Amino acid sequence: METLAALGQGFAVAAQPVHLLFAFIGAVLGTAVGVLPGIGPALTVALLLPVTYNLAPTASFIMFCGVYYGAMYGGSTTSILIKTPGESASIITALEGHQMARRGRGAAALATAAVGSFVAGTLATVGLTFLAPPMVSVALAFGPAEYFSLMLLAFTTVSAVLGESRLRGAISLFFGLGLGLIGIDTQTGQARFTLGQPALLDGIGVVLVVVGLFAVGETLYAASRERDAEVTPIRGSVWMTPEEWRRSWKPWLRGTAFGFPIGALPAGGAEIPTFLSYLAEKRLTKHPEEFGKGAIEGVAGPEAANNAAAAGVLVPLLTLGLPTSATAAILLAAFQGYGLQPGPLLFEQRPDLVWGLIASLYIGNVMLLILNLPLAPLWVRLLMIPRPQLYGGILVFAFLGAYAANNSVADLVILMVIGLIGYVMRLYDFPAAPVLVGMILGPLSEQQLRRALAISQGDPSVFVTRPIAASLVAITIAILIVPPLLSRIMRSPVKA
Amino acid sequence: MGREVGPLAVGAGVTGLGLFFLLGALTIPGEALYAAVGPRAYPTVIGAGLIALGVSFLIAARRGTEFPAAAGPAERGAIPWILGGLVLATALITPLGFPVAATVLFLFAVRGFGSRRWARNVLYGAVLSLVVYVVFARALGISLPGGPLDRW
Repeated sequence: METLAALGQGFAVAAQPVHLLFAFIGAVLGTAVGVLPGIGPALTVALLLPVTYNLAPTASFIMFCGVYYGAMYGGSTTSILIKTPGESASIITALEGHQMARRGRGAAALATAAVGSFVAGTLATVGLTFLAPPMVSVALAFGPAEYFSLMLLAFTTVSAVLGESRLRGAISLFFGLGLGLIGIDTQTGQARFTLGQPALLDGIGVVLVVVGLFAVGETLYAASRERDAEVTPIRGSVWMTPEEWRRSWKPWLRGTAFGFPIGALPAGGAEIPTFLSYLAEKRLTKHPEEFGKGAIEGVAGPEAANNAAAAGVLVPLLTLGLPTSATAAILLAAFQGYGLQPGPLLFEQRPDLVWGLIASLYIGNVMLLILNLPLAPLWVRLLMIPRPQLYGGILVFAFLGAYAANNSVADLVILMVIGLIGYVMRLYDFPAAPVLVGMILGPLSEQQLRRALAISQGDPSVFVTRPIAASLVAITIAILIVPPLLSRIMRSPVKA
Repeated sequence: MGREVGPLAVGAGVTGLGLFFLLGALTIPGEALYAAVGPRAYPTVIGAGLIALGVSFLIAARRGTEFPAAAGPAERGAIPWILGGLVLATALITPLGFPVAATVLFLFAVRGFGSRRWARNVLYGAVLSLVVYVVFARALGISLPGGPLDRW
């Protein structure tokens, strides 16, 4: 009941005309930018940050959530029509959705993705609403030792579980941790790795890294590797047939059931649930022959899972201050930009902001459904922008985003360096999310480790004697050693 | 970067970065206050970690087990154009303002993607940069240097 009252307060905030307007602007901008090929939700949020620099925090976060959800909707359009997923969680959608588009059912694929995103997004937001308060009570019991152990777990899962190569994931993570070291050490006031540059004393901004890795790195990659992409035109009925509805609704619900819980785990991520959902639909379908050739279940399930996970990721972000995806890392940076630290205290100190944000997710989802179904042909026209001009435009916005944060030319130089690194990472398939999670959680974990050891007077056994911390450490160790052990035991005679 | 040399260079780069952090850690002054976690502890662990990972990557790269080949043939001319555009725009933003710098960036970037219709691209770039400038600097109040436009 208390939760419902809080949510009611949230709706009172979110339903103010100004906030509705910002939610709407966010949803439109998020969809429009998210539709552009090669731009995933993380980059969309980063590129649109400057829009909110002069807004009050509540308005700004309401807009952000519109952008975040809008980018998820927009991304599925791109995956289906030109098979360039802007992020790894859309890869599965791209597989089946693009096949549907080629068979002339692109419109139905877009519709099942949009309605599925709406169903999953709304259900997952309900999940967020009711899971957040108990998580907050758990989080209040967390001391520095627990936080540090939780961060260790997040480091491990984001680098070792999510990608295809643990080695490359770990390299990305450590690179991010290294970036996080740059600047003034918060506890001792020592400048670290600033190379004598005053511009580096405050550290490297997360937005700069996101824009560098995703926008500049991706542009360099696209320019050197894949200049052309074919847009599959939408043909046929713009609406789903009754048969397609029948085949879609169960995958939507199952996808949500995969997406939200996995996204809400402090380990997080949207890739695994989309993949699980696809496998489940493939097993359960009555039309196995269509899989790989454009089965609607293969779009409906993963797309729902993807959106549900996107809402799930907000649970650890809002209640623990723990980002588990690239987009969540930017949202956290945006919070920090306003001097706010997500976590249990934020629920107490700024309930208007937190609950207004959650309420605006419900509203945003409705707006997005309305925007996406009838306006799909309009978004598709954005895909027709020729690649040179499209990427030229992306670079202009990247340049703006990198410069506008501090009006600093040094930031533009850093942007180029990070962009080149992003290009190499893209070339050799290094995941980007561990970089961001490492760079933002690295300094936080250092702080928690110091606090934990200060409280225990230097005794490191706190991490194994306190039950929550000890279990988190045990899970972390299990994730690190069990899979390699298993593969050693069950080593197949034929090496893949 | 060739297919053989590239991954080795990446491994060497990661190892080098690890050395940078590890050696850099030695030069950070300051002692641990309460516990073992002074300003050097994290850099030491991260530096050592990067070295270990870089060496593992080098070994994997030599065995050919770790990296996938990048798809498609490379367009070698693209990267210098785009980087050149970024360098020029960075140099121009302070003296000439955002609209001019962004137009130059756009022009170089589209050339990097192989578009040679200069006149049309100048027009596109200029219009885009001006619209972005007006929306962000004038309507949203973001501080951006306007160059010649600052007088209006």
